[in-house]
Amino acid sequence: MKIKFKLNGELKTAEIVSYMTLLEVLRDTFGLTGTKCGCGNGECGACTVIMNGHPVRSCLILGVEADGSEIFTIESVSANGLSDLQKAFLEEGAVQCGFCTPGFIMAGEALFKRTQNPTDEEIKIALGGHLCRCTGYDAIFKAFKKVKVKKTL
Amino acid sequence: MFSRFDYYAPQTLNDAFAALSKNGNARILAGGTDLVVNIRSGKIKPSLIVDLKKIKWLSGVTKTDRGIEIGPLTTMNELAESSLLKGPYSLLSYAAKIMGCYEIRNRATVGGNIINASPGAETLTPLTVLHASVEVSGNNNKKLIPLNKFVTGPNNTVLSGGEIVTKIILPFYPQLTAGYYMRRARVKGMDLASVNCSVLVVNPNNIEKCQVRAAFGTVMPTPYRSQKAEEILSGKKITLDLIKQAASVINSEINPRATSLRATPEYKRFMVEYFLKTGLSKILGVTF
Repeated sequence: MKIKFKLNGELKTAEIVSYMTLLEVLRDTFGLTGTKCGCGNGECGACTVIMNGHPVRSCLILGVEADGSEIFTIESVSANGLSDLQKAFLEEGAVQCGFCTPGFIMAGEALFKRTQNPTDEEIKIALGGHLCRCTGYDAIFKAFKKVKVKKTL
Repeated sequence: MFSRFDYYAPQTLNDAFAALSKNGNARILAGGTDLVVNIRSGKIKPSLIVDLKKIKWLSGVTKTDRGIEIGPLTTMNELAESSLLKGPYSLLSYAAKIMGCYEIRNRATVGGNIINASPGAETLTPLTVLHASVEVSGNNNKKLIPLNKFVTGPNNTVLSGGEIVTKIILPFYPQLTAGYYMRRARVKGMDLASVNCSVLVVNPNNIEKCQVRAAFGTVMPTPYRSQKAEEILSGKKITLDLIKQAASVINSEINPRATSLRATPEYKRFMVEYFLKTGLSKILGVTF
């Protein structure tokens, strides 16, 4: 099937089979391997991308469902250097193995688009479904708080 | 990764019916947060996926003379943020707000949640106490089915292969009617409910007309309401003693299965009184 959609700001078309996930289309058809497949069941958050302005799990969406949509992946975030959130992750040591990081960053970029000044509760809700087995979340939470402080100064 | 299937995204309901009637092994796709998982695990092997998301009127919350009408494709986040789901309906938007995680809530739909009919489905007990009806459309007919008759068991509804849920309708309630949704899960974050409960009090300010409804999830195959327990609590000043009586009636009627992965029958039975007490106390603003 033919799909036509906006990927990281550019109009793209692809010929794909109907039984591929959006995650597979991004990684295998377009070579955008920054988006990770952790669990493949929507539990871990590593495959989070932004679709039509909302963060979603690309492993639970069919590639053909992307037709006509606008999608941003982790590759778009650092197109012009690291984002504030990515810098904060480095400063707070919020990255170890890094596998979950693209998902956390995409959830965060979407959060800061929704609100410039999220409450602790809103940050926790945004991070809620993301699993990190290395850092224990505290550093990640602090990185989010740091961006928040910067943005509201 | 998947078994093979075709995909079709009709623009109209009639096109959807035509596709469903031609293919006996078709499955309807709404948000996909259950469907895609079930296809991947091999639990279901559809030959055609009919994606309803291009039929825009199947999504959104509106107020009509029938009541509050919710399109089946309305996502959990849309329910959580709807300005129409306040007051009597706020327990539904709260349940939607704590389901899964933020990204899941951007895709998961209320129609999918009730059709998947998990015994602990987040929206089922709120919709049950709110007396929701489900509008089911077939090729040439349309019928309204009360939610408690719509859901027949875990992952089972009265829906037949060619039918589509086109609305979920909530009746109007007197202004001060209020409800409360509660759940217990194994972890604070993303998990299915081990046991859950919705309490609704219609006319909480008028003891004679006051009507208490309580629906429990995961204690029976479908959301459970006890007529006897609700009668004990309705139309009078509620006391701890009445709550204990009602809980004991409910416990004599339910039969939580012993093989649940998430909670023991003993725990679920223990939670009955706690949920009633907490729900009524939050709604009525008194401590028991």
